[in-house]
Amino acid sequence: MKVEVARALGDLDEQKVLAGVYVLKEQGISPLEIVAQLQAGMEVVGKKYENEEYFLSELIMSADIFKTAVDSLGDAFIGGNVETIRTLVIGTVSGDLHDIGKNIVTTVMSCNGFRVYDLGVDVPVEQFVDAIREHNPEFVGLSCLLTTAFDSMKKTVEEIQRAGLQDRVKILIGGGPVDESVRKYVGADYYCKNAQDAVDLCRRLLGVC
Amino acid sequence: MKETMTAEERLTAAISCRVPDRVPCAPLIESYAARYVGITNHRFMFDLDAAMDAFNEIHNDFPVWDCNRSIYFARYGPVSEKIGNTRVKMPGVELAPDALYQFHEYEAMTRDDYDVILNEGFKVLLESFWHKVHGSSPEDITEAQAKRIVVWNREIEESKRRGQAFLYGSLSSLPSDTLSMMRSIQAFFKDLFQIPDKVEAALDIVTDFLIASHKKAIASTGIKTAFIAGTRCSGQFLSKKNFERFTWPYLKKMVNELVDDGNIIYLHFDSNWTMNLEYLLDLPRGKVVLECDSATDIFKVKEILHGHTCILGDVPPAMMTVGSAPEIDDYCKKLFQVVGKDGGFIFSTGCTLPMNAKNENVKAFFESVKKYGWYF
Repeated sequence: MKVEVARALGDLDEQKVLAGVYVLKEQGISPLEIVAQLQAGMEVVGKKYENEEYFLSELIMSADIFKTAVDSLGDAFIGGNVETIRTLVIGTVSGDLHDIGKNIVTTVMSCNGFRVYDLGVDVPVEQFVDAIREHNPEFVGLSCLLTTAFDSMKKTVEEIQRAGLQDRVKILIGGGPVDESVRKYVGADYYCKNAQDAVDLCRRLLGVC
Repeated sequence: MKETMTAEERLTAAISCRVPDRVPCAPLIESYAARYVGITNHRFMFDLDAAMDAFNEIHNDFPVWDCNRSIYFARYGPVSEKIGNTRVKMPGVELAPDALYQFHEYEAMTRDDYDVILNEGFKVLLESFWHKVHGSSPEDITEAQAKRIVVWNREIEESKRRGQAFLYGSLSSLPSDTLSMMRSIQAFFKDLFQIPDKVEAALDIVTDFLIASHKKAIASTGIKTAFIAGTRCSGQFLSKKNFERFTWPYLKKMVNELVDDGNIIYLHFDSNWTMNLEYLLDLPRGKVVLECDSATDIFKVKEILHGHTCILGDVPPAMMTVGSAPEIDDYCKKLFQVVGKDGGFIFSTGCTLPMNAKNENVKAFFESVKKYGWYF
């Protein structure tokens, strides 16, 4: 059954995942173990994405099934108890109100074992700095859709450096017009093309894949 | 080198995959215009005369800009605040006067609203959607639709006066993109997996509605072309199986019906369509322009679609903003030499020319036409 839950999530078979989780729960399997199986399913999805069998819509659907399955554990499971591999602080930088890309990254990273603190949109520079101090993340994600927000990204990176936090975090950037040239311009550590790219990069940097 | 064709002749030759005297030059310029001429973006978005003056000034400075592919008529403040497909925050209203407008997408259309489309038609849903996101009354909607045509015709008239071709006679998104913007992207993707039959039935109705809307707009503008935007339903987002189910049949139907009516189609395809390019070979030859925003591999497009579909693009917005003039020159040269080879090419920006593009980069962009854009 354990393998079946992971496989069903890999196949995006929502009913089968929920039925499988129910059976595991009835068998007295611990919630943490069930979540681990669901995360194994997300890894199957990630592989299919890598092989160009799945694309962004499948990532979003798999994350939704994951969340529904975790929610179905009810009182037996409190989200905060799941063993997360590391932490990401993310937000759309100051001056930019767009949230689609940032929300997708938040959703997909959360289902792949990362604890994500989403600061929202139009996030002032100081808020990123404060959040790094408070949550001590390994990664900071800066998102934007507007080219006019490149300077906000640059300023945010500079402020993180000025606060002496650059050795504690890796700064990732992404968004519609963002590319490697923008990464160089703003001084970030990495550019991520999409949500799965962010998952794969963070795992690679942590040496967990 | 000397121009031997009018802008219209040049554009027509490129669209039909023939070789004009030089490559037509058609940047999408309205995000950049206000800052270039030194007015606030608020004024540009709400003051039609000021916007037309801005376009005139840019054309005076860069007369090589011979094809106006403006969609200002759809972005014009009093229009987009009342009948836009997404809630929009405007400069000088919710944003600073010199900011760029920004879309605020949320799940304004509910899953139950599919039943409204199926039972009462898309027009009923659209009008209730506009009421919900913009607070528009039926009178507001009628007024905004009328204003849109007035602005549109003014743009056409001014373009002609400047000796430019005006590209777009009608405008919509693909049916799937239309619903995705109204539902919000994550909700719509879940619909594709959880209620696919209902989405499909709704897409049938939306497609017919949009085709009729294009025909109506073309009758008002007198320009026999259709701008069809697609971003969210490309191979970047959908598997091949879902692309074939939710994007391709509706795209094909729209294009074929509008071409049968004697129109040219501009597929304004943002995001990465590289893996979907072969499908476009099934559309009518010499009647379609594929507009690339720099996410699609334009050089691959040339390999696959040359001689069949005209290619428009694609100097990347990031390069215009953080790149240098020599980098722009190099990239443009490559576009002319590779994508422009043997015709069928319209030189442009990848989607819009950014508001904060460097002026020296914009200058290099236009100058490259004169340096590398000649066929004879």
